[in-house]
Amino acid sequence: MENFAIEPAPSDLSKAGIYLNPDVNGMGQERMGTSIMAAIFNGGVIFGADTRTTMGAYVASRISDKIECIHEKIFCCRTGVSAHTQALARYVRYYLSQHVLNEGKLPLVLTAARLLQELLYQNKAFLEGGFIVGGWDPVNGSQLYEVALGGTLVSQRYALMGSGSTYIYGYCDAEFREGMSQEECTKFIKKGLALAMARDGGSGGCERLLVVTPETVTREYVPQEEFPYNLR
Amino acid sequence: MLFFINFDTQRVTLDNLIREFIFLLNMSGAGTGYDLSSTTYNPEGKVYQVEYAMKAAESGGSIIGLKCKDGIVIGGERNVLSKMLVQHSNKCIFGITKNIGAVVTGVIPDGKAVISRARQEATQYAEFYGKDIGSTVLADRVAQYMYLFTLYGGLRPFGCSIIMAGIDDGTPKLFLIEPSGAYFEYFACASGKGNQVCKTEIDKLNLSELTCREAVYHIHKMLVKSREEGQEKRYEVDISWMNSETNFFLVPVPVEFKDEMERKAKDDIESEERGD
Amino acid sequence: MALNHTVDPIIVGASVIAIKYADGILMCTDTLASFGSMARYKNIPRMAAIGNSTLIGASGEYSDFQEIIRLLREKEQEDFIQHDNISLSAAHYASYLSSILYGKRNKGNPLYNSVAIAGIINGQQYLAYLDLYGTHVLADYVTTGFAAHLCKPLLGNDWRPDLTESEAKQLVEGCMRTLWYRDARASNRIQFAKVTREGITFEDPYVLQSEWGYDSYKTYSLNPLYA
Repeated sequence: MENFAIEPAPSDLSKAGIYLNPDVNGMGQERMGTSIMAAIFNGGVIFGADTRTTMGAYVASRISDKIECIHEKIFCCRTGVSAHTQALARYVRYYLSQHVLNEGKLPLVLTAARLLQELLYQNKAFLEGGFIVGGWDPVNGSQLYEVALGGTLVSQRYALMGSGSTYIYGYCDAEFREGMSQEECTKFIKKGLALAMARDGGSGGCERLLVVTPETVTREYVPQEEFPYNLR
Repeated sequence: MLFFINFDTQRVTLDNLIREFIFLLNMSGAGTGYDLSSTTYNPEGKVYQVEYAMKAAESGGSIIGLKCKDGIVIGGERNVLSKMLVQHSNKCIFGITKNIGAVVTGVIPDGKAVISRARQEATQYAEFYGKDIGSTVLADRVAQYMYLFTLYGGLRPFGCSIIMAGIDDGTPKLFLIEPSGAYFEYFACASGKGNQVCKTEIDKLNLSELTCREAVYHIHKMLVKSREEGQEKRYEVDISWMNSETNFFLVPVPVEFKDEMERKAKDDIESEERGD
Repeated sequence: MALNHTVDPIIVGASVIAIKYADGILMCTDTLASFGSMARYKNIPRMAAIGNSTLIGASGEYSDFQEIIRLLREKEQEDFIQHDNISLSAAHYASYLSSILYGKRNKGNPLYNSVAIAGIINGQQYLAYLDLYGTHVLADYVTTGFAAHLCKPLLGNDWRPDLTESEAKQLVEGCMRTLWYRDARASNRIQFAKVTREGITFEDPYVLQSEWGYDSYKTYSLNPLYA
């Protein structure tokens, strides 16, 4: 398994010493106007996400990593208020690590999704966030779930979320096929995200992809120059 | 150092008096004060209250669990104390989830308290993780719960042993949990009054070839053999099983089949004895 | 100000129709959960079986529906492990659920659903309607959501207690078609389920046939050029 950092990139703002008054210009909390998607192919699951985090109209980070590691073979994409979704992912990572010690075997993807669902459902009055959870476990193989705002848990073959996703439902409905190869599926996701970013101001930057198969986890970075589609 | 008491500075408490008493007598057996609370070891390194709890558990009716090639069977017997007792009103097998259950011996109300806790744990687990609890995890949690009762002065350790059966991801599991909080996984196990006889009989079985249906017969046989001879007490036997026939849910064995196996077991034992 | 989603459903299912017929109860929903006007999840189940003889279908907030199923299944297991050969019936589940719904409504935190619960009790059909206010009524046919407006008259005209299964199916399918035409949150992918004395059966979802080819549709126009 490729080694990579679990921690999200620190906000560029704090590094640069920029302080924003959160009450002006609609610059409230950091939130992810986002394009995230994931799909099941014949050998596993591929996640994809843009890299833009905004505060109102300001791009708070242009290199954020929205694909988060929950466990060795379980990952999630976050959308919504960053503080909420980061905290939730952290909780689930912790719960799952304890769970694994208790059970002495790999956790189920559904368990991770269920934990997120419970947290979102029980706190739906406060939390603004959604997750695409997916990965592989030895019992049920490769799986993908959406945990939507309010705590609705739905199993999916391909999943879209975030503000940018609304522009590409049609594309995905038309282009997704069962049993794609890894190459086809990567193409499908790369193009979908590029199309979403082309129309959604909340999404932007580059693309990060993550491929989970029963054996490996690999990450890919797609700079804008290599997008299959750019709005001109 | 252990028994050093400075009367000038230390308050005269019951504990201290007991220690002093034992120090003077240099004794450690029952009735010497070490058995009053589970907070104190005796000089041999045992906690008497836990030992007594084991005794209480061992004095209940025999209980048996057998892991078979096609499933798992648990059974137990209990004394029918009065002719006026309504049949099946004092069961010793309890369901915990659809595919986990337990048979209890010793102080049955203690067992019921533990079962109640086990059910809570199972429900909470399912709510939290979105899947059924495994019997391995549940046995561990129940054992921890029972163990807690061996630690505190105000608590009495549970006077019951529990054989828990379950299916984890399609694999049958069998655990015996004791009042001390110790628990182990078994292919087959027995507890209660006749556990020695049962264990001897279990050793004679070929568990890897045994089917659940055969196991029902053997459990009856073991229970009959383990009863004290000469005493004409009335017993009732509970047997539950889990196999493909029951959709891998833990349910009681059908009454007709159970009764038939009981008759057969009794007949066979009689003819064996005549043969000798 | 804290957001208050509890009285503001997010992922929402549309109508449920359930009717009694000669041999049991037929229930039908589409398989869509909407997010606002977006058809977000197009192939999800909106009915569920609780035990062997209770069928439940719900419109409204989908996460609340999932919670209801969880609660009822928890109760079902609690009942099963008594090993007493007695199981809770649809009437028990309906009563239990209506207490929950009413209790949560009084806390200002309702489960945002309208629910149909169907079952067979002592050989007789049982069909109840529950909603987020804690309302609990029995009926020969239950309609929730838009169906309560659009399909009640249709059922009122054509429902009979001695409908055969195929007649019942035809009647309900007609209602679902009306919903597909006139409910902007309905889908044409529908699913039937039934409870009979034999148990519960779910059919596979299928896409409803609908008719758009009438000549009068083709020629319809306000444009005087075509008149």
